Amino acid sequence: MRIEKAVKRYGTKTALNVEGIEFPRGQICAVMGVNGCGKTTLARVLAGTTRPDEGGMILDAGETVGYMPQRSYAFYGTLAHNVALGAKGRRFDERCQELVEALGLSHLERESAKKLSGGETARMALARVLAGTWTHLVLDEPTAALDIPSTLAAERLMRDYCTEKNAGIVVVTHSVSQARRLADHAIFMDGGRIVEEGPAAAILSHPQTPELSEFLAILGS
Amino acid sequence: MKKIRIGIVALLAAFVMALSLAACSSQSSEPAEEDTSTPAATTEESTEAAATNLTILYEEDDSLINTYSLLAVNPDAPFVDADGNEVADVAINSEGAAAFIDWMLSDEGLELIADYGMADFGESLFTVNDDAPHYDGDIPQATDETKAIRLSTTTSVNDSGLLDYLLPYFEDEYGYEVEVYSAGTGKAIANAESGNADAILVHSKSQEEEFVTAGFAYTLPGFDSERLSFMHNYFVLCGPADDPAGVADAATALDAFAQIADGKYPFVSRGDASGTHTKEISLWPEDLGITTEADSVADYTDWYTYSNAGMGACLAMANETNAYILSDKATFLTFEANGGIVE
Amino acid sequence: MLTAFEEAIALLVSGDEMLTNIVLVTLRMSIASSLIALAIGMPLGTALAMGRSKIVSALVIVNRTLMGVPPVVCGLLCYLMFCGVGPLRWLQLLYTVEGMVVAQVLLITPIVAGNMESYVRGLVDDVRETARGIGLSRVRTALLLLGECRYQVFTVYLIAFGRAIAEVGAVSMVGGAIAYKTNVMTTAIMMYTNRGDFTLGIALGIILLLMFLTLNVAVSIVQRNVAR
Repeated sequence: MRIEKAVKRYGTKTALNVEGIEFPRGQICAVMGVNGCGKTTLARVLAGTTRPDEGGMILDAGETVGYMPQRSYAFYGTLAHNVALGAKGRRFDERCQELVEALGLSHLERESAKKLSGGETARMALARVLAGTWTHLVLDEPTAALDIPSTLAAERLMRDYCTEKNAGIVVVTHSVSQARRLADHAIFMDGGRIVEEGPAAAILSHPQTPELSEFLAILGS
Repeated sequence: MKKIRIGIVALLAAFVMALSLAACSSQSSEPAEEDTSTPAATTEESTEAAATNLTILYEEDDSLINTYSLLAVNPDAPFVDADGNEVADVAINSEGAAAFIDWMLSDEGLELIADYGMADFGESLFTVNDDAPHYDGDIPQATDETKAIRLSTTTSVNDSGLLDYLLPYFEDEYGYEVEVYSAGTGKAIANAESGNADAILVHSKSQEEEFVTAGFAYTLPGFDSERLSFMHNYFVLCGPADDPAGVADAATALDAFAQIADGKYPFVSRGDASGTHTKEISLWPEDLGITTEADSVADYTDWYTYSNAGMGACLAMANETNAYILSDKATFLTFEANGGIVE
Repeated sequence: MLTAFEEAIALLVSGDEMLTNIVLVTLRMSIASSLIALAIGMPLGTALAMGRSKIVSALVIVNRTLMGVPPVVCGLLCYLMFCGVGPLRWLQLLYTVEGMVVAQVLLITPIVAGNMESYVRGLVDDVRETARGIGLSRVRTALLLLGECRYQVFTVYLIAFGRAIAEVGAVSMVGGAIAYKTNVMTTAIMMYTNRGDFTLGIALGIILLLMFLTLNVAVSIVQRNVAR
């Protein structure tokens, strides 16, 4: 999965203007930046839910993308029913069972999904997208609503998915520590452009641009 | 628990709605009941009549005669659509219409008509004309094609209850189903001219003659006219019981109307081109120039109300505003008996 | 004091033939027209909410205009179409319950569609994004979207039924208020009022309210059970 060029404008504002990014399989890439920097637009372009004005995302033969939007949506029905929607044949199979257990949702399986809390809904949405078989995953702030133990559990599942399925995962995140723990590669965005990118550990420890330095400084303090 | 609470709220709401409606109704029925004990209750018709402000002041004048006619709609009439284009294939149930008219003018039909009202009002609401056309041939049983008969009639006939009383005899005996559409004579005739009726029962000579002249009616076998005038009753001039215009003492109906116009006493007109409206027009002094058109009464709006409403609505209006009004007697009596007129 | 109320109860209990017929015709007409309007209006409203083209925006405006059509205008139109000399006279719909249903469907469908459109519009982006993210087909997405409206459907249905049962302008023109055939509660109330029988009119009004109340309670209970 790669982008040669993608531009998206809303009115006169350019929300996204990127070129030459690649998301290889078997790698987790963190996308970071302040609010309104174009992270979500990039995620949507990658997921195919937003059509850019110029260019676009390119998939090689056999590549598929699963996507978890920023706002987790619960459909009518039980939590199990919701998770099953993401699985093959929309059946609540063993894989679904494992995911629900790993995310600590087992006791809620038969509950109405509409009645779940924000954190529970987010975990359910993560389980739903992880239940499918994809070569690439785009996750827009999957752990923003989660507490620390749940966040760690979620990160473990993402890493497992990456290794077991040799999948390329793009994670939009606000958390520098999460990027450090989870990502192989990191992209820092500002004003719709990619300001800095490179191996996560390297650029987060030794930022090369003033923008990223400032971002890390603020978060660090 | 939640469901129970909702149920209780809903029931409460229903109770409030029902109570408010009942409260509305009690306004209309209560005074009537209280007045039963007053000496004014002289008539035996109904207790409500005692409270009636609007009363019959003038009746039984020859110029107030109200003649009803039956006409069969001609299946080959010059029907036109809304754009004035000819329409040839209008479906008219001529056999059914003929059977209905034949029955109405048979011994059985005419006797039932003459009898209607005796039970409820102590007098007949309609009188069969001495020269009423008469049918004594056979009447065919209904078939699937001829079963549904569409009768377009006036509200005065329908509201009097005459048809509710007559039709079951005819329908049970011959298997027809008469579908009664009722509106003012003008509208009832227009309805037939739009191909929506098989027969009409109306009471406006001039409009009936126009209908015949235009070719919408035809002469049924065994009769010698398209227009079969067969029964009548009288229009009545009603007004406030104290009769400020003094119409009760007028020599003729025409004098009575002239007195109302001279004194500019409030008058409620149907204003809907009904038979009652056309009759009323014919009773005003000619120099006033009142016609069925609303323009013709533009100068008289201070006393003349051109209401464009049904007989019942007009009676209620006249009662409320202490106005004079021309009504057919049958509707007035039923309206009064139903408690529609209250102080 | 409660004459009208007593009379209403007495009429209901006595099983008066005329009244039973009026109630049955009213129910037949209202249920049929509201269900048909729901069946057409729901997918239509969903489609209007899902579309993004200029044509769809124009259609939304057209629909909102149709929501405001006065019933008598709709009735007049149907009358002219169905009457003995009208272009659709061969359908023989004038002064029939079916004709009344047609007029009602024309009136109510835009209201159902408009309600669904504004409701679905609030859902469609989230549902579409989520469904797309887990690779669901367009058809399945549309079905899911309809499923998400299950709570709203009942509300919309009550609006549709309420319009159908309370309407008088169109049904009196197309139905003609013919006794034992097309006379419904509203036209009967007009008729009785015109005969000066206010008490019977109010009794019918009470029955009308009670019928709608019963339906409301029933629908609310079902609604609560379905929307989980």
